Amino acid sequence: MSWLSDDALVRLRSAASAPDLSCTRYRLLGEIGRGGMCTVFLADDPSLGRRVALKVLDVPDPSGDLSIRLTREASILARLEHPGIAPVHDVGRLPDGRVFYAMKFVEGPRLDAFAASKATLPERLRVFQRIVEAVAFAHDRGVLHRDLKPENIMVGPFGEVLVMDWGLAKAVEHGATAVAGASSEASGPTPPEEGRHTGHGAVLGTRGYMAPEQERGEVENLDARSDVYALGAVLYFLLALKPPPGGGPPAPADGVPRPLLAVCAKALARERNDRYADALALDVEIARYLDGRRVEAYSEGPLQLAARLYSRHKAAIWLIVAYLVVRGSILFFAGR
Amino acid sequence: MKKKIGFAVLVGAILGAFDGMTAWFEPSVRDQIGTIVMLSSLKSVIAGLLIGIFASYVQKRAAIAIFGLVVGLVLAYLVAMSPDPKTGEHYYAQIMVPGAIVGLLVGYATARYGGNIAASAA
Repeated sequence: MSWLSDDALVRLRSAASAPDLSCTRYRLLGEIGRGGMCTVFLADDPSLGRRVALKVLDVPDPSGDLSIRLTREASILARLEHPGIAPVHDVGRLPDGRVFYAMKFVEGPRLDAFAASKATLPERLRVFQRIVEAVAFAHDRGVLHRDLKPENIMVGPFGEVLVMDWGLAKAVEHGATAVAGASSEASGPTPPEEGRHTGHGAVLGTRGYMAPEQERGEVENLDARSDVYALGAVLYFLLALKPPPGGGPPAPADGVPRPLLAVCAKALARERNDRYADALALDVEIARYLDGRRVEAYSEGPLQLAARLYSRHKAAIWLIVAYLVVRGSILFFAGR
Repeated sequence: MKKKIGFAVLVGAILGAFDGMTAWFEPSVRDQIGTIVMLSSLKSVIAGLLIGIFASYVQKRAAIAIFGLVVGLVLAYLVAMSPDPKTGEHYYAQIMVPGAIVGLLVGYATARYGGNIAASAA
């Protein structure tokens, strides 16, 4: 009997887990990533001449609950047609019975890699606004993401932003901005996933980015403000390059302007009534900051007000000063 | 478009009037202050009109500001061409330099703030 090397074993395992796409129109190109219950593969769609990402269920599912969950995830994604959300192209079953869905293959760094780049503060904030817009759109369509974090957000090569991994998404009946009533839960019995906290199949999300009510497992009480909490944590990460400290207001960090810190603090309020009412309100606040207007979450002193107004109208102020100096000089020299 | 032109004309009228009023500090022309303010306002209103029309077709802030500078300079030159009726002297620098800055200010203000007003009114 001959022993197999570790490399050979890895290759064998990989070959064994590779999905059989013979009854689909896709051709397997390789594995992209692996989560708790799914593996994402890169595949070629020869009929349309494009590459797609195939998300395939990758754990035993005797009850069929996970298949239902993945199908529901695909159907939730399918109704979220937005430039900031990766579109679903197809859903189906492999010959071995496993459920899969095909979606847009997104190239580019994740938000955590983007945050570590040399992007300027306005660039970071504009990227954040695109994230907020995608989430606000989902809320408008009655869908909560529930697992927003830098690892689930991609930044494309042309600055496009895509909110990914809607595996924990929750569809609410009366729109996500209202308190959730009856809900179509995309959870069920969930196997543990790295970085995700689970318990009784109800507490789903990622610590540090999960709203307190979500962490307490109050599934019925989740609404848009729970995602607003996660957005606040993502904003803090984009600014400070670290997740916010749990349980308290976000700590001051080097180079993070105080008004933006106040925005983070409001979004990360433990009481959801103290947070922004919805994602659009957070978007408006960021737009105010970018325009040099007053941020509602931050009460500024007279000096800060003067500095902000100067910064906003710098060119106009200098032109007026130039005019006054010229006019004053002419009058002064003419009078001599 | 009309709101942008209106904004430029209004800013031109205000800055032109202010520019004319500075003649009050010059005792030799203080008795003609009314005429100076009126003509200065008229000059800046014409500049504002031209800048507003230009700004309706061009989006670039720098281009609008430079256009304002040129218009202000040209109109101020036309004014400076007529000599002082008492002394017969020409005040090219005294009229053209502030006139150019006023034109630049009207152009910049129209590009920077005129769009916002038009958008918020729409």
